[in-house]
Amino acid sequence: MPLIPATIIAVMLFFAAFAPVVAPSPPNKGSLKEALRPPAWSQGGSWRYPLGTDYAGRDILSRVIYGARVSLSLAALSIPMGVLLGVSLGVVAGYFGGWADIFIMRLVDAALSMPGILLAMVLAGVFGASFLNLVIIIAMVSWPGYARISRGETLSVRERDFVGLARVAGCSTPHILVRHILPNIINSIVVLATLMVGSVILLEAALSFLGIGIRPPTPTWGGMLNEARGYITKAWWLAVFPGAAIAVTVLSINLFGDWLRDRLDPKLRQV
Amino acid sequence: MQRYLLGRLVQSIFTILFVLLVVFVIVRLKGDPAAVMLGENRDPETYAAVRRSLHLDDPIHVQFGAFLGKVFRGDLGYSWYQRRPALEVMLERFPATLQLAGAAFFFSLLLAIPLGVVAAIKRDTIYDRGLKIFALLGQAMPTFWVGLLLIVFVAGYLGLLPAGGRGGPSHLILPAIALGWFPAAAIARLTRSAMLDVLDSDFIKMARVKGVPEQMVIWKHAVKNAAIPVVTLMGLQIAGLLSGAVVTEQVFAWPGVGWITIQSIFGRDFPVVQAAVILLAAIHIAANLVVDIVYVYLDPRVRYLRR
Repeated sequence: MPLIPATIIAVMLFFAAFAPVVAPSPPNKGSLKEALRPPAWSQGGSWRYPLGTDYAGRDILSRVIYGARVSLSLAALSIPMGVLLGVSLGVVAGYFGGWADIFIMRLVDAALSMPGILLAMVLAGVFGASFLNLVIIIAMVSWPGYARISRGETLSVRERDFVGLARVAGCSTPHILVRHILPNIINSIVVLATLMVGSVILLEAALSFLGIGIRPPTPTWGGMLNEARGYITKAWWLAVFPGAAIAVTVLSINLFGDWLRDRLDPKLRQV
Repeated sequence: MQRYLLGRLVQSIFTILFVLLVVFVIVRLKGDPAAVMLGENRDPETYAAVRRSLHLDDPIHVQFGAFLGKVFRGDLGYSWYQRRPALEVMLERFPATLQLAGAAFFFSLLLAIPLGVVAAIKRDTIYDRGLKIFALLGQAMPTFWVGLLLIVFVAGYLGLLPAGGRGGPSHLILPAIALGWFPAAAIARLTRSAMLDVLDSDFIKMARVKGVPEQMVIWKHAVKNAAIPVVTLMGLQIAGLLSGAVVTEQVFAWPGVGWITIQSIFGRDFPVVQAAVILLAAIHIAANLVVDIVYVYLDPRVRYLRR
């Protein structure tokens, strides 16, 4: 188990779950008198605001801690949704073959050749970026990957003896799909889903940064970076810490995902 | 081979149609497309005109047919904000985006190929590990954050380069680095593994045994043969660069396609957004197609692998 990445992920999850307890102050509380204070260790900083304050005098550390909530909960909801959609279609395509396969896989190819960020931007722009909308949008952008992997895996599992025996024994098709196919392809899906968490966090951050994600004043890492743009020459800490939170989290998740892949599904390495 | 190419071509056309269908559906999911197109402040006369031009009182398949017909005639709607064709608005911004993506591409190659080659030659040394860290970081740091850091430190504190806008060559450097960072990481990693494969092959051993100077073995024999997978990846990255430019342009106030798209989303100038999606998706699809075709010629084995 890669210790450092796993610890960082655990800390971020802890932050997300217990933000009100961990954060030194409420994320949206600030006074203009305290605006744009530098981090504690630079001149003019104070340990009341370890990472400094933003233009409204809000504590950066607290907002970064609260920002973990949005990023991680969005990933936690949108990934299962994308997996459910992608795996259902992929298994159906792989198991039944024929027209279902052709139709679903052409759909997957088409969806994969659309630039995800652009699609997400337009959907968020048209429908508005509530939390629920973003969950749905991200799921819509990420399902094709799961569909492609689960179809490929289903194709090979389908030919194995136990599936044929189950059919002979009179098991219904839904039973075969859920009880015999699914457990045998689940490892690859788990690995891919883990590796996708990083991309989902980056996508959400990009949308918030562009101003079409979750609305302020809800603290999000991308949104904080967007707000930093107006003060960029005066206050470097506004641009550094939220971005570092994104980079460290995504890096840890990717390292963890790589480890999981090597353990569970070495085949995926070549993908 | 011809069958494969024909298949790919048909698939690309299907994909474009799918994109158009998605655009068509999105506009209608929201309710009245004429209202989406015109936004809140509309006068009844224009509203009626738009409803007519979109065939909104006809059955849905007639609407889709009319929409397709217009798109293929190059009519992507009319920018309500700028009062001229949406396609014209997009195309006028296109050179700026192309310039940015081109510079980023050049930067990423300049950085990635030497890094990858050196890491492969000095396998398992500190260089190699350095490359691994660079590649991992490249995939974890969001483009827009790299951009902001460059603005804060290079443009702000050091005052070396302009922080934004489009002007002389100096305006291009920071955006190109920010945008090229991500593909550079991927290209460097692949260059390294492709080089390792080639360095292990018999003809390289043979060249060494023959006494060919090491520099020549590496730069002439090995790099050339490691190029095939790298070229493909580069092709795929071009499409990625164009969509990555959407975000980078916003960071550096670079007046390209991405910038105008975001402005249009905010301004609810929906015809321009629609034109942007169609145009960028078409480029994306065309780039993928070209890569596949070029690749088949470079390495016929690929068509079995990529299925």
